[in-house]
Amino acid sequence: MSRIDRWIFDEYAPCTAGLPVYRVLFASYIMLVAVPRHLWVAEFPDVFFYPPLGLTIFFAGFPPAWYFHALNFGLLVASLCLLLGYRSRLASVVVAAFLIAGNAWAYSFGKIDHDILLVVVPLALAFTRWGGSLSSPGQPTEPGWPMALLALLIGLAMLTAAVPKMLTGWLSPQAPATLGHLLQNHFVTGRQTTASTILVSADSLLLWKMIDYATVILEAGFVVAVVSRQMFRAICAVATFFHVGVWIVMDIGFSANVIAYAAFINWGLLLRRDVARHFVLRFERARGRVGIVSILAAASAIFGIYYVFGNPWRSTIAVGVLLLAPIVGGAYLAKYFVRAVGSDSVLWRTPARE
Amino acid sequence: MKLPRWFRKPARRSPFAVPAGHRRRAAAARLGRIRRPSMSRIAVRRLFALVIALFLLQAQLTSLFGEPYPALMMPGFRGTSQDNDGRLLTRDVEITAVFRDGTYSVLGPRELLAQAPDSHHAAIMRLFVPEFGSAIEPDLGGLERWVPGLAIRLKPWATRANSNEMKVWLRSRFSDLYPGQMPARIDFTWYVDRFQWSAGQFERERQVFGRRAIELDCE
Repeated sequence: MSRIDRWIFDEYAPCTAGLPVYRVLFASYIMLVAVPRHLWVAEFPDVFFYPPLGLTIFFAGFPPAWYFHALNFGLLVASLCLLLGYRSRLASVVVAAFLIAGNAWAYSFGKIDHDILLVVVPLALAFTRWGGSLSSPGQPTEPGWPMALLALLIGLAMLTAAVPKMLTGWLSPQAPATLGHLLQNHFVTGRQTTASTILVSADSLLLWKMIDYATVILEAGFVVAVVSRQMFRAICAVATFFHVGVWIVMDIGFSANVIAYAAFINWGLLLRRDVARHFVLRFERARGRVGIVSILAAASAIFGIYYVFGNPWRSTIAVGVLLLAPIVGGAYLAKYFVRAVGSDSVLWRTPARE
Repeated sequence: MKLPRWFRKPARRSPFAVPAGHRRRAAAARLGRIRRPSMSRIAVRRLFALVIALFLLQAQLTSLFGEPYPALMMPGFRGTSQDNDGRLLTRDVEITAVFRDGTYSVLGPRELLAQAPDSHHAAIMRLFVPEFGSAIEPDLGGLERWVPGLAIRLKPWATRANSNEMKVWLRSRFSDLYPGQMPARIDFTWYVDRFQWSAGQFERERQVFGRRAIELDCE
């Protein structure tokens, strides 16, 4: 029991340093990429309604358009509160609840998009003090169990991607499974990218099987890596390359996953930079002045922009997140590799710190 | 003479008194110097056990009723899409709008379902899969009243594609796509494509596996 306790309470404790910085990034992502969402649902009549087992199974059709407008406005207000650290625990729960309340209807057409980690992150981190001041020195001061819980949830989620693949032929040496899905995506769904055009003419069973095995190993590896903070960070770093690869080849962007992995970065390190400290001080000074009225006014202004122009920066930021992630992940892997080669290595002789 | 402890009268304490050291610990917690437990260790252990139990329950529910929402799941990308001869298979649909004057226009799900994200197109198009045999309406009893969504899931697809509500939507959608022209009929032609590697590229062999026609002009 003591080993399990050590894992639950202590293993991920250092990951809590800098969580307030991550809170700002997460809330910005919700405001700039995830909102507005699902406004198209109300354009379809109830004959398209095909709910999954869940909240919407108790209804016979879709809600009216005003519901989605209200939901988006509420999500904007909650994410602004989270951004500013205003009643952040409540704001975290409300963000998660509003995401579910919108997704439940959008996924009642027979297809579920797998962005559940956007919901899981604020729910797990609501137990931490991620709503605290940015100007804290970035030392881990809280129990690490919410981060261990988040790691476990990500690991289990990734396992649900690996198991169906293992059971339906991805490990068969003769069947190029990724190629089959790529052909469907390229020719039928119509997501044709330069990389997919090149790859659909690659006749190499060896290449495709390597991709199949690597995908299954990576997805199943998450749940194993959960036992160690360093291993989990390393597998998240590798996964950033996987997600950018999937985006380049199949035009499927899983930026929500990348944002969830970013919770395990020690964002407190950023606060050691003078520029960042200066920015943080200004942010904290501004934060002290705002109240719920200012938040509502700001949310109304952003909602107005989205209502008139749509979200002009959604795809740019989502792509930016996907492209930036492997750079950060690559840097972490390089550091991890050098450390693994030898802690006494002349390349890496720094005081032990997280 | 000092009486033994259990004989002594207990000291009167203020109802507002706080235990020794509590204020100091609370102040330190506020300053972020010590860990402030938000939940007891036992509660946290129970939470972890509950998460694992719910995950197992979710796996069971998924195998029985399909994927629930919300659920802790990532895309499975099941199967290898191969036939017995090792050829890769895909399924495609072509939508043909046949106008009153006999002319026609062909479009794909991307045009018909432009409002919805493309990740949903394949799922929505399942509404228009060909009818095989006669659709039998199951007796749903009180289910329709109490769990209408579940009743919808149990009804055959065919009744939904041929419903008046669907025809109204199709008319409205095609009046947006072809202003001033209204198709008399919409044909959904379903294909199975078999991909075979040959001479440095994939050759596609297309085969029709079914059709569904929806008359819009019957009234």
